[in-house]
Amino acid sequence: MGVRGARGWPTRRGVSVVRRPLAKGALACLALSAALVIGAVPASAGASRGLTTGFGAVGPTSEQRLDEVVAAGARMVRLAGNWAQIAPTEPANPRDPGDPAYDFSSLDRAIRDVRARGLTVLLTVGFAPAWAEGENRPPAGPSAPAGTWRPRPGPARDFAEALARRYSGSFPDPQNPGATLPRVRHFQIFNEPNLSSYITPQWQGRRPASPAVYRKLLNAFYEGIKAVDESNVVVTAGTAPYGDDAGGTRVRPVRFWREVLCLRRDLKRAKCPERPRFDVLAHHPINTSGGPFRSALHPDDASTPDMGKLRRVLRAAERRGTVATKGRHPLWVTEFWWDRHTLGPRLISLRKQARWMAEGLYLFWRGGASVALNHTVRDAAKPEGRATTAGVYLHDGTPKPALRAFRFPFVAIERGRARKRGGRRVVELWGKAPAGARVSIYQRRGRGWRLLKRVRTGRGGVFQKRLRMRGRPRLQARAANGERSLPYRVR
Amino acid sequence: MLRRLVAVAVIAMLACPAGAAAQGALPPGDSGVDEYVEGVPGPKGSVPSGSVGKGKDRGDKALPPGVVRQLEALGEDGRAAAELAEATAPSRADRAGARKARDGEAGGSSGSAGGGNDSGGSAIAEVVGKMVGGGEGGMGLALPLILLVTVLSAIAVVVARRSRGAGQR
Repeated sequence: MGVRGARGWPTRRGVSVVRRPLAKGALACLALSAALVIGAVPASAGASRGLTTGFGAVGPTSEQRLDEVVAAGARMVRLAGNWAQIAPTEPANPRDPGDPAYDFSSLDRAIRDVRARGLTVLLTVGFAPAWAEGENRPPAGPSAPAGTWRPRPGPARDFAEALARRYSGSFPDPQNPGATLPRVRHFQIFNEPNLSSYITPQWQGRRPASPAVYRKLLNAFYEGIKAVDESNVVVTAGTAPYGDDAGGTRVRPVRFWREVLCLRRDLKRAKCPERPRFDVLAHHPINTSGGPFRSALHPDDASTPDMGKLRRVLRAAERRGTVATKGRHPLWVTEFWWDRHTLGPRLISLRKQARWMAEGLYLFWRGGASVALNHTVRDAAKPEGRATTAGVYLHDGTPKPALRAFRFPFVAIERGRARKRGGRRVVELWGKAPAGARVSIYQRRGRGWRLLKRVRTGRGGVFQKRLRMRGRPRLQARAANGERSLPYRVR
Repeated sequence: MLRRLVAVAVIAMLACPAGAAAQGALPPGDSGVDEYVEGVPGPKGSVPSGSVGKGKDRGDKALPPGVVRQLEALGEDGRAAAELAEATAPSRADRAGARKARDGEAGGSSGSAGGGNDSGGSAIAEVVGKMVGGGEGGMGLALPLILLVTVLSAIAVVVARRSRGAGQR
């Protein structure tokens, strides 16, 4: 059928009388398929992939802030462990977490507090001690900050094993005799390795140097973590969203991952001394150039709507076997923020920040992420600099509108244009309900709200539904427990 | 829709001369103040996108205030477009240099053309060089190939329509 139809397409001499019906038939088939694809409205609205939300930069001993994390509906907290502070001098038995050279006291306390609230810990370690840095180190300074110079794989492997042993769930708690320290399963090695703030050197001439440094570090860390418990999860460092041209201080994230994952620019296999090993790939799709729907300008940069770029690279690596760990690797957003200074000195409004929060979570999920961690739960005391106003609470503890958007994100995005002026357009509803297996979608009518649709939630409370509707009405999602999302006008 | 098209056209017009004469772009990779600032790809390396209006006097703006207001009225996209136009536009000194160069060429002068152009080759060779120039930001041979394919396709469509019209008559 397909072949005969193809024969019916116009030739140089025009369409023959005999072949015209075939051409029409083919066109009709195409139109029907297109209509089916564009206008498809799935019957089931529950999403098969969930979205775990959480926070970083909580503050190790802040009880109140951890309560705020729980109130925001978060499930995960990212805690930072500074390797250089934990092991300022080289331990005699580096794989033994009880070695006297190690000082885990503040990390122990933070992990205890977080786990006591039933939250999952993502433990991010970074900054190598001076004794674990590589050879030919230039003097520490802005071009090579302390703890960043070619961290050596051997010490990294030993430290990873010590960490995994200490937080295996069976190590004695030094503060509570008879008790053990809580279990931690998720470990992340370093932060933003495509920036010279965390890994140096970034470039060697016109070639990026940091991907190879990081691949070795990642593999060593993986070996140490898995040596203790095969079920532990090794998460790669999240890459920063923007990079520079050759010779700069940053490597663009998509290029960084292509190099780490042993792929060429055309996503074919490249020569690599060793294949990378990890369980989850992480990125930080922060956007400092505009709102959530603003893509990065350079194809190798990746901001909020660009998670798909990394997913493509990761899936290509899995397909071509350039990753040593088998299966499909999840994608996580281990840091994002909507700072009120995003667009420069003029602050964005609290309402806009809340809307961007919901839209950002939707775009991360749509780009393939299954975890999204906001940088901070509460604004800093001095709102200067990046990410200091990215919290969902003001500094004094007052909830911001972003709290509601974080706890119950809901968006309604146009996915297909109306066929005629004033006609109905396809609108995708997406959200993450804080409770219940069903969500009711309401539409603003006059001064009140009218029930539009009830949808079932899927994994982690995520729901997704396509509807046809006229205009750009204001919609609201309401959970079974009575909680309401912020109203959202169809975009 | 029409306003967006106008905005895009304005930006394209302003960005094109920038491509030929932009100076003052930061050295590659110099992210300036902040490592979370996006570099705008340009012909001479990345320029931080957040640099609009910083350190430039009013007379050094690439976009007239009215156009900036119009773009900002379009929302985030418009604002981003204005930033892009500012970031990729030549500085006042470069514009003056380019003007001098044009004046010099018109008067038959063979002297140096200010700060805008220090290469000794012909203008056509320079344009061709920039079109096929590789590197991080350039499209390499892709751009001329795309242009060639587009022109050939347009010719093919016209020829096909004409021959079809003749056949039907």
